[in-house]
Amino acid sequence: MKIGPTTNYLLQKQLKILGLAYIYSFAFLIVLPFLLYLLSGDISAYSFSNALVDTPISGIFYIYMIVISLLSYENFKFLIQNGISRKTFFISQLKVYLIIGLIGNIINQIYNYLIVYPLNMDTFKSLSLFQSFYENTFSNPFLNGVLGFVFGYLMIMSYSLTSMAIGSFLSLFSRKMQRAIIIMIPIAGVITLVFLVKLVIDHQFIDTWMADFAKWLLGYANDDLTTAKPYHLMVWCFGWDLIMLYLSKVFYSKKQIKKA
Amino acid sequence: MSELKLEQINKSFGKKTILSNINLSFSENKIYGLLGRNGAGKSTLLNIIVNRIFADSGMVRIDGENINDNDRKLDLMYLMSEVDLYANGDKLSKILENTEKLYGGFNWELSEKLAKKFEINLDQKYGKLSTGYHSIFKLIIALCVPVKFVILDEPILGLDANHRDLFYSELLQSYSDNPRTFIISTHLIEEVTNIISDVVILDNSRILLAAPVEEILDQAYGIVGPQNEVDDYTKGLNIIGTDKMGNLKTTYVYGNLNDNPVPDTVQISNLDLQKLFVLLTSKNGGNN
Repeated sequence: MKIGPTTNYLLQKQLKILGLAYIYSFAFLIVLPFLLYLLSGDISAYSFSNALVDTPISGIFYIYMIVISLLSYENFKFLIQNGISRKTFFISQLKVYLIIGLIGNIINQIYNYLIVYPLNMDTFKSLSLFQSFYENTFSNPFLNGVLGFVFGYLMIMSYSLTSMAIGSFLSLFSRKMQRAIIIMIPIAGVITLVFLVKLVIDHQFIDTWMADFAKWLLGYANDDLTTAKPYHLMVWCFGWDLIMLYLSKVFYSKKQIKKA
Repeated sequence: MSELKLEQINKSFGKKTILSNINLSFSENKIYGLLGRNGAGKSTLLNIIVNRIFADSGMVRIDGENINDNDRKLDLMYLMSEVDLYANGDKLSKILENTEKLYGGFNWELSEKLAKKFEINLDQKYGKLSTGYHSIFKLIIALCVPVKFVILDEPILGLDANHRDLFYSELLQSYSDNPRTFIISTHLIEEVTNIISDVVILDNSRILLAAPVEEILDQAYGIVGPQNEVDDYTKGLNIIGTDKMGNLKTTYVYGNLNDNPVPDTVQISNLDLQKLFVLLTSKNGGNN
């Protein structure tokens, strides 16, 4: 199997896109506002540190991972043209997501701890899901940091593998069918959301099994919703990842060139 | 010696049968012509061979090993086809580099020579090329990758006469320098007749003929003469078509002639491949 060269090819290509995503984000979110303030003659109102704090580095990375995981057909075309099997493509692509996910997670953590936190300590608690809910899991800040890192990595992989499964599923259909699915799924999502909102408004949600499940998933030990542990969510993410991985493997093995 | 073997391949799109019970074998170091009318299933067959699409049933093997999801065997083939599987935004030189990475080798000397001869600038982006230059670029790759089976689906699409001529001579040179198997699917039969050693004719989703060109043409005859005498002579033969001009009749026969003496007024000549193909694949042609 040609996993080495394939991984190398995909990694180089996708890291280049990640670099571009960061450069464009920096240009649009930091440089462009600076230039606009400069041109308007109100440069004193521009705060570089605020711009750094407000730049959603984690969000950018999540969006990047979701997009590259959704779009697998272009790579499939090039690889099958070059004698690479679907199985090798799948394994190599997974390795690349694991590596890039790790790199992105390191960047996110470094950015949060070394740039955002020192610049704006007050809003630190709302920087991520982990810091919002689970920052007091351990009394030792180092252990908390390690747990936060693992938690962040699991979340990134959950988003990526879910997108990988959805993208590879969609790639099995014609463009026409893909459009129909892409339209139908958000409609179904909105209907579900309306239903859930109605439950909440009617105060029924608190008593439903869904509410109990949500509390269990988020790791709340008591009804007062004050102390939470991340372990349930982490195990859930891991299980979810395995399911998405299996589905992706099945969908990858069925990929074909369209209009061949 | 490597052998590419197709066993009982069937493929349908919806209710339409494209390939039906295809059994074929391609030996190493031969140049095959895959001929068929539009929609005969040539491209589908070639795409199944390289695992781009799946057959409904049947198997493709190289040296006895199934090629499905098998890098070691897929690595022995390169299919150049009309469908563009390269990204429009990629530079040609980058595509060549990546091709080398994945195939594990590439004849750079030949690619540079061919790029010069075809006057193609490798620093431009793939999407900027015309249809003809898309074909040229893919042909350059096909001749430079280290594979045992080079498969060309309509290789001269969009090429002008000069480039076609250049391509045929480079193909033969490349074959002579590094013998390997070529499978060429084309509509321009006359142009490949002198290049191919074996022919496979696909018609109505089945293999109509698969044999060395020489062997096939040795059995394809045009018998010309007065109608009555031609009819008498060809009675009982495998007639695949007829032409009439006044009292003169030409009857086309595929297969062995009989031992009857040939009348003085009747002339027998061998058919060329294109004429034979037209007769065999036309709706009213022959009893196959």
